[in-house]
Amino acid sequence: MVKTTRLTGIGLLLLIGMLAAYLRFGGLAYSPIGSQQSILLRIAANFANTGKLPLAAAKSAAGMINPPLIEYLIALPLFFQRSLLTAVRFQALLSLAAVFALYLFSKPLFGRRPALLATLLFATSPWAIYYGRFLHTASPIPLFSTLLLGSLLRSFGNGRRPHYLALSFLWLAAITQLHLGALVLIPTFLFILLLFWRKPPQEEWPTALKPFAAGLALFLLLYLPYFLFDRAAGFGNLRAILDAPFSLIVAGGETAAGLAPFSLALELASGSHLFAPDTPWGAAVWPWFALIPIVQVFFAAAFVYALLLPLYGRFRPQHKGQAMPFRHQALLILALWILIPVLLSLPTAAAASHDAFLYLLPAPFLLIALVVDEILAFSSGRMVSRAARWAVTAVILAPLLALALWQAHAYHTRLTLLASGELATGRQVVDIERIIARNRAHLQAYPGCDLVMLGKGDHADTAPLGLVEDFVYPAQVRFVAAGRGLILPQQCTLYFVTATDPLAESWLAANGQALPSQAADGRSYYVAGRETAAVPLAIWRNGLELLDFNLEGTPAPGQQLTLQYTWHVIQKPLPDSHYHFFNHFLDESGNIVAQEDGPGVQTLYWQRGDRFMTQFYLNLPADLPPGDYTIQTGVYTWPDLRRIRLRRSQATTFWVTAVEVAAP
Amino acid sequence: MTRKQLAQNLALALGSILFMLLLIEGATRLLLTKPQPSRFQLSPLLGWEWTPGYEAVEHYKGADYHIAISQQGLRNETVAIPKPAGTYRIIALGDSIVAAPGVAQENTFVKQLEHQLQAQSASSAIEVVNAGTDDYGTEQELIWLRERGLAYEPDLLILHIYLNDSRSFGRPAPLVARFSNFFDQHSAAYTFYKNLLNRRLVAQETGQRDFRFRYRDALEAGEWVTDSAALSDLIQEADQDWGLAWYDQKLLRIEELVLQIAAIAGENDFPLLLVIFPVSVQVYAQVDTPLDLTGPQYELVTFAGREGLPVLDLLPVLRAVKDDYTADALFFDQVHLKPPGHALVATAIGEAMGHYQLGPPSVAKNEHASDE
Repeated sequence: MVKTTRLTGIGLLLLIGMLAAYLRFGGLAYSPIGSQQSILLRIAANFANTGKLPLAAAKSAAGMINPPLIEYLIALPLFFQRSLLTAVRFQALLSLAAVFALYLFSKPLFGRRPALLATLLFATSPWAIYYGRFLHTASPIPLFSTLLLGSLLRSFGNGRRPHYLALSFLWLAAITQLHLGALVLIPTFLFILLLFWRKPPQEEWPTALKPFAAGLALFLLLYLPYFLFDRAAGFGNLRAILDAPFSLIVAGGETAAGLAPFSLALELASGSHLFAPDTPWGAAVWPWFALIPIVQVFFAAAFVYALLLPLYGRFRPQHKGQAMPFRHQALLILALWILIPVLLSLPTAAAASHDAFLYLLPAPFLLIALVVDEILAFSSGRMVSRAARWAVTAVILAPLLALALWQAHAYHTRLTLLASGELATGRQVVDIERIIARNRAHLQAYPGCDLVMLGKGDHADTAPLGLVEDFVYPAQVRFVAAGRGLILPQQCTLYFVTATDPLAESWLAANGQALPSQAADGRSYYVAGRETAAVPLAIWRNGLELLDFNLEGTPAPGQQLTLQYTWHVIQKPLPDSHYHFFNHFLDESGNIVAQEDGPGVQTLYWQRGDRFMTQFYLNLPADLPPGDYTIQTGVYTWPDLRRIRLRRSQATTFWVTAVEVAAP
Repeated sequence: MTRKQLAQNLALALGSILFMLLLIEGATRLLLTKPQPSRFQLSPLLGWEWTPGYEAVEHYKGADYHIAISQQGLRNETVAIPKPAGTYRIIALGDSIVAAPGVAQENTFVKQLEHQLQAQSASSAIEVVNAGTDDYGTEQELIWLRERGLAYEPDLLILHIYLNDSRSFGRPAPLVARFSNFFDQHSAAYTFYKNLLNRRLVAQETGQRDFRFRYRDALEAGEWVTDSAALSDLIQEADQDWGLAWYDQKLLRIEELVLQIAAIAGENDFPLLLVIFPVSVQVYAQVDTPLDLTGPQYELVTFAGREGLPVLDLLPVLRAVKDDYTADALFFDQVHLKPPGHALVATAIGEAMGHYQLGPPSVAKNEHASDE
């Protein structure tokens, strides 16, 4: 029979902790940095850089702006060290803290054996590790759901502690801030309260209500920044959030119903989708995939057992009139914790994803551990022989231990594959850190220079390397989309080119100096500032001069013409103004036969005194008749589409050049 | 705890809060400031407006002056509504330039114009109503005219345009306006801490206490008078105020609003005269700038000509006397005129009315005859 002493308990906990730490902290440099991570890091880094408290996070998949808690959590380590790796490590730390939190609250409530088993399963849970290793809005949820579950159970457990009830409101607020899908946890939480909260005698009501009042205050306090943010937005987000659960829960929402939430709950307990045999990762691990259905069976059986407990008690006459034992209450709470959100989510099953159900963790592991503990306790009764006890123990525990071992091995394999480059996950922390380090070094070597990032995306919010801006702060960083233009600044500038752009690179090669640290992920140039006087071809009333243009390509049907303009900014654009250029290819009657509009270089990056180039492409129709054509250009405001007039003129277009299309 | 105890606790809690608030109010009054009736109150319609009945002797940039706001919410005597028969009524609609801080009401160009017209026509039944409110833009002026101004039955509308008139404004919710107006009038603590918080928020958002007026140091330094680059810098620094006029989309906005005002004037059968006020920088700069120093006036006058709207550009008027008056003699600051400036403007508007044959029939006729 498995019994743990205090010493072995501590020893086992340390071993589990070390294992959990390795699985979470190992190879974090390979943590993926996609667009979502980039946005999260940018807002948090801005908080750390400027001290301005963000009142909201980024937009959620549902189109609403997320509450800001995730940004505070990410910003916390960035206040000490502006490093992506530090931010990811902190996330891993929260994940590790969740593992220990599970042990700390379950051990005093249920004893050491189930606490250790649940902790082991949680420590090696593939999804808990997965979200513990990379930055995602929902990543810290398992920590807060562990704390919430713990607070809730402890507030009902032996020696009730009302302050845990108050704290549970805080954890609930945190979880719902981290994923709006977790709002279904609120009715779950309230239902559990309704079911298990013991009604006090009349004279104790004021005291009994105190934790509720305190909890509600904590809940509202955590939402205060978001409230302030949304007040400025006319409460559009809060209205949408309040409407959403209603439509999801009552009206069925806009998405199709299905049983996906059930399978997602099972999946979160086992992690089968993560390393399916047909993936490179799945192919590299020990082929013990049969363990997955075993743990799913364990989970399903424990779940059903917990739900049947109240019925069982009802049909046992000797228990009639007695309060349900706390352990049975706990099992029922855990089962409801899983059942209610799953049921409430059925109407929107099509939109379900793992992160939307992350708050279910670690309930399945505690549920399994408690039921296993019940079986083991039952098997240690006097009626069962010693051999049978060992057999039961082996049959019950062996698959779970093997599963934990296999999951740990699987993640170890993943780390090995990532380190050897055999498992591609897109841009990783190590890649971005390298780019940041290189640009920081260049900015230090050339103090006072700006940085222009030439590659994908023309804005920090859309560029894959947008977060570089916040990690080389306070240097000014501007983004230009390759093939769309180039900033030719008045002051000294460093360029980091990550995409192919012949026009830009030829200009940089001619006017700048290639810096030695050229690498596959980017080429660096230094250009000294200069001011060039030129007579403008046209001046627009927003302080923009057209200095020069160049037309490349053959004006023939089906061909593409490239228009290159050089502009001079004599007046800084107003904050929040966005200008777009239009380029029209007109026939003799003034009809547009080809056109391209766009910002060229984002207005945000126009600085007084700078020149910048833009490139536009006119695709001539295949059936373009021969004749005389003209090209005209102009500027308009976006998105209200007001054309800017030329200075001291009512005209809004500048006649660039005439083009003759010859007969084929 | 019994119900009685609960009620006692609640009463104690509420009483403590109330006591604390009273203590804060008392301490603020004793140590910081007394409750001061505010010149302005929040308005769900216009953003803000004069507080009806407000009266005080105020200090404005070295000048003490008496200000009295009528119960109609104008810096003007109460005006008869409906308009008495035989009265010719002109509404002078604009911002603080028209309201004229620092200048006694009798010395404002609005009052001087009224006296001038009365003298010319030998009739006292000519009124020029001062409908200027601090910091109003053309959009607020349009709303004021539509919602309130038509009740005055104007015979002529003089719309004063300044270079920052494209600025947008926020409207408070009715309940917020009511709450704020009440406490503004009665609580020293509310006003004091609200202003403190607003200043802090502005500073936090912009890094400066007064982001809109951050050009003032450069304005006072005076390098812009002879240095083209400094002049360009100054116009750029003023891009949250009068510098807005150097952005075409902002001028377009003013033009759109003026057309709406002109349409209202047309529908109600009274003419419209546009008067464009310059910034003092345009009057006293001795150099031009790549940004085109007089561009906004050129564009607005061209627009008015295109739309057939009578217009008076005060830039040439004030430039013509810049050798006779120093900037300090003519202006309080970048735009607000001192009494000599008001006299010049009154004369120029009178002449423009004559030129366009606007005003009471006798005046328009006399002016036309003298032109001939």
